[in-house]
Amino acid sequence: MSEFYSYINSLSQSINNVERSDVEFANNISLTELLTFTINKIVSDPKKKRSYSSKQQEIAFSHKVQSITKLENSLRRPDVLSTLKQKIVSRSYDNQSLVDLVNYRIKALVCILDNNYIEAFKNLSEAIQSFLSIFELPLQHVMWKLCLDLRLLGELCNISTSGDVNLDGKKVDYLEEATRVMNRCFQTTIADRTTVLPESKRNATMGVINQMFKIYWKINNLKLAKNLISTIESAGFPSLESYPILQLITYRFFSGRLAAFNGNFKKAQQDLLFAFNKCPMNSVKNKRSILIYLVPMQLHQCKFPKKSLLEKYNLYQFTDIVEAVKSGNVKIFNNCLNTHQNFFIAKGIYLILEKLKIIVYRNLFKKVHIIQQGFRIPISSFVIALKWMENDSVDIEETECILANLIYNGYLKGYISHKVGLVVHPTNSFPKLPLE
Amino acid sequence: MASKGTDKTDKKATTPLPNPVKEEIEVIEDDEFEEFEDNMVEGEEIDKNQWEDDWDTEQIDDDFSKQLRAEIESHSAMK
Repeated sequence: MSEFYSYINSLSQSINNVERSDVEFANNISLTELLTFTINKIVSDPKKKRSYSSKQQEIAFSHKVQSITKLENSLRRPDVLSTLKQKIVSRSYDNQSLVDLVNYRIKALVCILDNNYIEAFKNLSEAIQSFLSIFELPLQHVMWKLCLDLRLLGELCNISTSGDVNLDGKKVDYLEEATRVMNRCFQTTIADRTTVLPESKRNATMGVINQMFKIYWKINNLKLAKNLISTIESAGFPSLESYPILQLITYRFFSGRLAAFNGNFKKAQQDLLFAFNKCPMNSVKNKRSILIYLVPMQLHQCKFPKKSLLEKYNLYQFTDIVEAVKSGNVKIFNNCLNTHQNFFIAKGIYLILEKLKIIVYRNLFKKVHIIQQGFRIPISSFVIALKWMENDSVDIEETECILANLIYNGYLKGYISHKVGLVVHPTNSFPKLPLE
Repeated sequence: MASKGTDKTDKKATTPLPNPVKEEIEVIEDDEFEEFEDNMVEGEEIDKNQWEDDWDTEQIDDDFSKQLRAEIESHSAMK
């Protein structure tokens, strides 16, 4: 009984204070803990379980779940809404919308406890709809929290349903459904046309986009991610640096990955390096995730991670490949790509790493040049090196082809003469890397 | 420009190098980017100096380079 009133009191208090701080309200209506807990309860594959970023977080989450479970009976009382209604007297917001928001959110919570996740999803979507009618700054934390929870709930729905179909006979993807709702949040934030940027609802945009990114990558729809980026980076939006730093780290992680995917390695390297350097030290899992994409980008810029860095983040898959590129060891390079193929493909970096091969050839051939000295090097020396590194079938044509590619791409200054072999530039035969 | 040299068609005719031992089924963890906790602070860039860019030297005294030299010299001597 007393639990019921103390719950109603703390909730209504945080609502009535929401003009001063929306963080407390966001925490009060958070379903993140319960959703994380529920997902981990029904998922048996340990790899698919949601991880906690720290032991403290795990403890905090389990406390919150315990207190929610204790409230279960109170939340089912028929008078919960009417009691709450009397208590909510916000001066700045439409009280009915606030009551609707809380009401739908309580319904969603009860549905989750009843294992009725689809119904919970509908209720949380309604809660967001009610919220959008009153959304203003500073309610951005509430919006971010609602988007995060809807994503987790979408994941939970996807895990728990195996065959729900929509009218077209297609399986319903609740993560995709979640992006539709989030898109309304996104539209609401960007619709603010005020030119006084610090007061603009657009300050809430990045927090919404980040949740959408996470879904777009999961459902593999990067085209939609690109649209979000071009919006938030257009004129009339706050500068990226003005968003909260932790959001910016997430944002640049994804925009960097998209740039890498589109072949814009320079931008990808800048985004990912920023994300890596700014990422909180205690967020080891995220640092590692960033590094998986940053290392290939750095390698393309000929910046090699030290062994200690790879060891620190347990990325042994890169150790030998880095050494192979550096030394020009084509054989080890090929073997590494082959050995860790599954990992590289799963992370979407296999093709990017494969493109490093031209740098491996450059480094190998530069060594041949140093060994042979002079400005005229017989093609046969390169053939010997390649036969040794790749296989015995390598012939002159193939070797000349690789040399021609190196010349064409600017890695090697010189020309092939069938009379004398490779004739190289006297002072700048292998220009400094990375090439401009 | 010609395509990459490795695309040669007669490659299949030869015996490939023995493949390296494939890894045991590799555990590829879910790479979801975690939510940051509100109380986390920006990193201190202590990993900033973990990148080498001064590796491109003229020195070739490592083991691999020595082997390469031996390989080239032994074949050149045969001619």
